[in-house]
Amino acid sequence: MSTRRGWLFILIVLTLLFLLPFAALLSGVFSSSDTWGHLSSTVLPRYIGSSLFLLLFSLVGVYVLGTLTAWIMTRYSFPLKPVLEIALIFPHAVPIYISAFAYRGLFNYGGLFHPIMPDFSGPWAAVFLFIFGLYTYVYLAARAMLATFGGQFIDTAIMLGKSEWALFRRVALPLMRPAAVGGAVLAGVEVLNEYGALKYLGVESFTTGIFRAWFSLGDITAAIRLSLLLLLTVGILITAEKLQRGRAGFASSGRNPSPVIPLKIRGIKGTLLSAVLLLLVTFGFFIPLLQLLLWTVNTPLLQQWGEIAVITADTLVLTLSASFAAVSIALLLGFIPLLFNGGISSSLASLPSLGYAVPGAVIAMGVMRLSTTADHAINRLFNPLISPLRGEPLGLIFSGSLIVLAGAYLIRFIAVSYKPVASAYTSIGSVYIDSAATMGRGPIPSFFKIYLPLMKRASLFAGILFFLDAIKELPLTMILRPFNYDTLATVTYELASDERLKEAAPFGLILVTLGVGVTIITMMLSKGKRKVTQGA
Amino acid sequence: MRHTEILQVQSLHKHFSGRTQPAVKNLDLQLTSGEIFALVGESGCGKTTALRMIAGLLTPDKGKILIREREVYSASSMVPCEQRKVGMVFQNAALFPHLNLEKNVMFGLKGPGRAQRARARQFLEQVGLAELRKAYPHELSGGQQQRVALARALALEPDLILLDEPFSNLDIRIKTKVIEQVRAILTQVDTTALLVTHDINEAYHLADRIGVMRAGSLIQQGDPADLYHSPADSYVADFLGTANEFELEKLQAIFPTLSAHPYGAVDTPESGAQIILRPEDIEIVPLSQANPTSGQSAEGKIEGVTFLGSRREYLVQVASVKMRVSTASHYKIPKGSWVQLTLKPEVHQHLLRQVV
Repeated sequence: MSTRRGWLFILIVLTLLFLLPFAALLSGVFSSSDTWGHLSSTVLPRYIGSSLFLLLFSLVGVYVLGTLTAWIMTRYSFPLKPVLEIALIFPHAVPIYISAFAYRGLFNYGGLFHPIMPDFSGPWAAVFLFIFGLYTYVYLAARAMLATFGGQFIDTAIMLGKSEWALFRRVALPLMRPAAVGGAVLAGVEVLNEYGALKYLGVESFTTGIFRAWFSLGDITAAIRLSLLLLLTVGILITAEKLQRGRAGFASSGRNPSPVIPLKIRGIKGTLLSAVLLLLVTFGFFIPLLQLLLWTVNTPLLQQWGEIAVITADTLVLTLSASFAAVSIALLLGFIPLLFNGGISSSLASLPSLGYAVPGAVIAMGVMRLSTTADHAINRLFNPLISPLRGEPLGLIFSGSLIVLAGAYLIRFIAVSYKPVASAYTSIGSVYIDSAATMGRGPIPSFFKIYLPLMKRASLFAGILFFLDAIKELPLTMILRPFNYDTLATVTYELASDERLKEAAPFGLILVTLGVGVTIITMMLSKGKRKVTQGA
Repeated sequence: MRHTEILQVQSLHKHFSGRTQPAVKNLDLQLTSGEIFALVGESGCGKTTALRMIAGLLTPDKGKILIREREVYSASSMVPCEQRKVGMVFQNAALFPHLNLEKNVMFGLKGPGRAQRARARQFLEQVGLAELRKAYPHELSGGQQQRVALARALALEPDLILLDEPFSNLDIRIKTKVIEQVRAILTQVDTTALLVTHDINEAYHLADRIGVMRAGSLIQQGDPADLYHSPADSYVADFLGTANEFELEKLQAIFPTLSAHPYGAVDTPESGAQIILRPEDIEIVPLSQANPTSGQSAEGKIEGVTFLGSRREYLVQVASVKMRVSTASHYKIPKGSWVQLTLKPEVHQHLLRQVV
């Protein structure tokens, strides 16, 4: 038992590390600010108003589109359904800022749609992009719930003579609601997190405000205060979601899975249904993709080739390393509660996942404050000893380093790795730890020899999901990246914001291609049958 | 032959936080070498908690546990599970799904690989599965998996084997056969074992002694037959098999000579005492074939008949009480028949007990 205390200590240290940036953020809020008075009386009301506008309209659209799509895909079988199974998730692979500049290009002078509508900017354009780019959050969550548990309810309603519309409105929609609202909250966080698209479309929000306070005004306290306001907005969003859920978690708890058997829709109706859903994918995926392709084929790639290769390699090294670290930490976070049969250790292990509900810019501000505090402390402590030897002070160690950037990715996205890993651990259970212990083997051999081999699949899944999110992350990378260091996301954004759209296109295309590839692999992994029989 | 004490549990106590009642209350238990002891009770009675504390998978609040006279738990010491020399077979066998049977058995072994392999093979042979040593757990039946789990536990030559409801997931059709196989293996290797189960039939098949737990306390322990025929209270009586329970006065009204009989606790009954009668303690014959009425006989009417395979159970209304009586299954008396019930002679010597 005493050896298990060591594991608990590791868990506590890991959790504290993940929470430190938030503590740093809170401690920074009371520092003096030169511009806060000015900001709060001039632009702050605009930030609040604009952010709420974006949230409200985007979330309504995302909710309607997500739940309808989930219903159609679960309830009906029609000609292009197998293709749409994968294609409907593709918009998730396109960062909103890439969609923004692709659409802007299409509506700009010389663009394909310029004659129809001469401009694509402002809050409504942003809402359009959010709806078609983020509906996947609601669609995936709602569909999983409906497809797994909806069968018996739908069958009962059919036998009670309900129409298809009544089935959707009175059975499917209430059933999907807890999951759909959960998905909508995540979409809401993405809306609040967005920087590139909003800056490009000329829309103000909390995130653009944070950038302005930090990069233009150089006022970190003002940026921190804005970050905390943004965090408060997210907190309200999550609390509202929890309140609406109330006891509605009924659908999944304690019920046996009851899959929905799809109804075949043939002929013109089936074709129409396929066409409508394809239109959705067209707006969210094919249009940005085609625009990127058009620009890329018209770009003399040879001149850019070296730069493309270097930035792609840098991005892959950074995000893959962070993914590896994320999976390793998630494996530890998930394993330790098994040693203690859950309880407080489970709560501790899930605390780091809070970062997923926090916009990247907020995390970046917390991490930056933490790293500068650490640098100052180290300099104060060691400069008297080291400066005379080196002839210069130590300078910045953590601030602007790749390790800190990777660490910030971990704080922001550890939840996406932890969730599948924790779920796999739960299905395996702690029985093998007990079993190994009765064979004279402690937790370390259990972890390495039993659980790690069993977790291969979940680890791969966790790594892929993390990679997909980290590679797209823009605001956090913009704030924390080392000087003169670019990722595919930052270079795409910077070139596009300089209106060098054709040069930005190949980088954006690589991002989208990687995203789509990873999405397809994820789909295949989640559909594949488990080779290992649990608990055999 | 001297019997060594393998397990001594003294005043073991566990109270989980947030629960109103302790899970295990002052449990005392002794197992001698080669003995198979079954701890039985309903779900939640604390038997698995007790087992996990003995294994070292759970820390007791107080008490003492000694294995082969070595103190593995007391107020001042706690030997980790992996150092207790205790083997365990879990409810779902807990075979590692990514390892074949041979590697599963080798998992806890130390020493050169070849020696480990030979040992694994030896124990797989012992449970009759050596030929399947390269198979994976999911390729085996539930019974085979439990035998591998037993081989894996035995291969470490533990002082004590703990069996945590190992048969509860097995198909009823093969359960008895698997229990018999396990019993044969345990006897062959002369291992001391502690079984935890909620199924009294598993305990009857496997155990030399049985202990009945209720709400964290060990109510009664002893030889299975003694417990069956001399239960400490009506709970134990019911748990160990079908039981008719009557107030002594009512039974005396049915069988008038009962109180005059020289044997058994009924000679000096306390007022309101309860009497336990097993269904097989009562003889039943159709009234047409009845012997001349004696003081130990009564007449009644069959209100229900249940066929139970090897036996048939009758629900008989006698005066104001209902009695369950059983016979061999081929003996058939139709429902609605009038019958004569007679207490079997041995009842007065062994089977009738007063329960306060």
